[in-house]
Amino acid sequence: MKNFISRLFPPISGEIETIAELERRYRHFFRGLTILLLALVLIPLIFISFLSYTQYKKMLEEEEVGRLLLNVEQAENTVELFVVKLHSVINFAAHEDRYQELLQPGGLHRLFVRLRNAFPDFTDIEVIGPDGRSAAREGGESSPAHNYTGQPWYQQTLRKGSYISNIFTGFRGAPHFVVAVARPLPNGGHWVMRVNIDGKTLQRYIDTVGATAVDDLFLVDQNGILQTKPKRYGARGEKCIFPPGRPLSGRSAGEVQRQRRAVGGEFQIDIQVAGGKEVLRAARPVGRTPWRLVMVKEVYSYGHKWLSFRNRLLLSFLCCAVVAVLIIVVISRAITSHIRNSDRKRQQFLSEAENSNKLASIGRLAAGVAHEINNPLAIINQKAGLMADLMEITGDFEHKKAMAEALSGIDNSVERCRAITHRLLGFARHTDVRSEEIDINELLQNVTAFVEKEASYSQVEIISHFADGLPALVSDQGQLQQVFLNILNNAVDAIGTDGRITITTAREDAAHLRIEIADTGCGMSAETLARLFEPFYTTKPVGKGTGLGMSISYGIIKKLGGRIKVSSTEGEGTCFTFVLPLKNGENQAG
Amino acid sequence: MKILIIDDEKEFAGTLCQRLQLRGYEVAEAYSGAEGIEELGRFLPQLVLLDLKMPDMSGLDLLKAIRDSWPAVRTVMLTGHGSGRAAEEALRLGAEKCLMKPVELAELLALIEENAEDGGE
Repeated sequence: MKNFISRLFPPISGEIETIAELERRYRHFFRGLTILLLALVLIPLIFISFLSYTQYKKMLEEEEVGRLLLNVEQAENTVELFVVKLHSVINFAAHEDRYQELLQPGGLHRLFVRLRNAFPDFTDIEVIGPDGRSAAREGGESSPAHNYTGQPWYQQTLRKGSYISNIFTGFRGAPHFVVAVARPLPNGGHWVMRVNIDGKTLQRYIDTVGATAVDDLFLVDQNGILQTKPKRYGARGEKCIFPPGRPLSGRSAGEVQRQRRAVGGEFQIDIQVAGGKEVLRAARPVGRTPWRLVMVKEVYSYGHKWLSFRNRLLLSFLCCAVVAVLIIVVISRAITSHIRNSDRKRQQFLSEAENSNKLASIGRLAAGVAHEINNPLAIINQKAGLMADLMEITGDFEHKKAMAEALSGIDNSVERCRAITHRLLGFARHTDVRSEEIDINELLQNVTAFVEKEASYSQVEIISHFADGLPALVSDQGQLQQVFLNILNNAVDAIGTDGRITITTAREDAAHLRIEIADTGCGMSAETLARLFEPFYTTKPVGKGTGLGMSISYGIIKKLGGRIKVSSTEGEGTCFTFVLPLKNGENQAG
Repeated sequence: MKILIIDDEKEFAGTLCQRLQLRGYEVAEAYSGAEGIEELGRFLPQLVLLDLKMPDMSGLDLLKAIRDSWPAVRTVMLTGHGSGRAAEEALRLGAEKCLMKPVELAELLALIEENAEDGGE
């Protein structure tokens, strides 16, 4: 983690790197910070969204399971009620003492007609005697009298008193099922009434019940053979296609248990995958019959409820994410640019410190050189002087005039060297700063007077914008004069002919004054600007300038605790801005 | 007028000595602080031209010695250095003037004459 964070932030180094390298670092930092913040915001957001997604889904599922169970319960009750009704009708028809009456010719026919009025789906009716043989039959096609003794349904009827069969097609080719009841005879033994009922009855019933909000509803027998025709899961008479499915989990399962206890029935509920969709399947045996009721319902079939929740969730997630991304990008950008700015300031400070350090060491070097040169220069000066002295007291000789001229040439050169070394020493000299109260406007006026004449020859106009009521400056008058004179001379030189110099004084803040000297001269190139304060750097022709003026000015202003700022555009002009402390800053400057 | 030149640059001291002698002054020279003190006692000059920096002794120390032992002797400092502080210190210790090398002879002569007049009074 620590490693990650330290990799994220650009390393702090004192070296001045290339701009491209720095930019690459800032981009890297911006990217890293953005990713970190995004992760911090988006991960919890995703987690919470996912949680509410699954919670809501589970809740809907529970609700759905509950409803399905209720539906199954109702459907089962309805089917059971129908079967009970059939039973009681047949029970009533097969009244105990009716056996003989039904065997009378037309007896069974009358009963059958009455029954068909109430239940048109009764296809035929048969009375079976105690010997297990068909005694009378009505409806359907007549068939030879069967002996049913060995048939399982007959035995079951005798054993239990009643029987309901599965639906079968039989030799008549129409699906039907059988309801049979056994009745005791007064002289011992049982007779049986067997009624065939058309399978369509059951189908109609199931269709009516299944028309409610379920996808499919059908009956199967013990072996899973379909008894009614499902809407989509197979055809009647086929084996039901559902294999054992995935059981319900968690709270849905708990819901099933609760329901099971409440209705006391035997439930089966699981999740199936059919046709690529998840469906809920619930099954329950129908009372007094060999059938099971199966109900199938698509999971989340309450579509719009779930869909609208999902859309709202997605929308709010996206909104939050977009807002978070925007804010994070803005914040990261702000932090990066803040760091970039402070780095830039630091670099600027470093290069300024480096510059003034360079200037100071050049100054010391220059002073050392000047001192070393002064001694031999003094000797040359004296020797040449001696030669001149000696020549004066000697009579005429050949080339005397030429030699005198040579000597005066030496003298002149020594004088030039002396001027240079003296200036150099002046540049490095740590003379004490004299402190006196100065009216800066008056001082500038005096200095301007020096250059005004020369300026007017070259059509250079000098304009002064002096602020009124400036406080007195405690500083070194002579040195300030030297600085401003130097700057004004340079300005006049830079203009050549026809131009304007503007001198402005103002208050910088409570403790500083600002003096601006702007000219409309030739300006400086970036290279000149960079080397402006270096000693011996000059753009003037050889012999015209020593290249010391600006470096001396710089040294003086520093010593007085002030600052110089230069801005220059080639071909447009240069502006020097001086900021001077009201009390000279020898102490701060050191 | 007796002038003593104390400077470790022999060529400079010698040539200046010669030039002053040509102008009729009585001049002696010394090339170190110790020699200078010896010569001061022997030659008894009225004016000393003293270098600020010498290998064995600083010009300021010698200036103090002169002030203590020969208070009547006047001193003019010569220096190749731009150090204003040393010059100010010399003036404070009683030097007449501080001149920076290379020195114009005319300037030096004017100074000598000035002191000769003062001494004469």
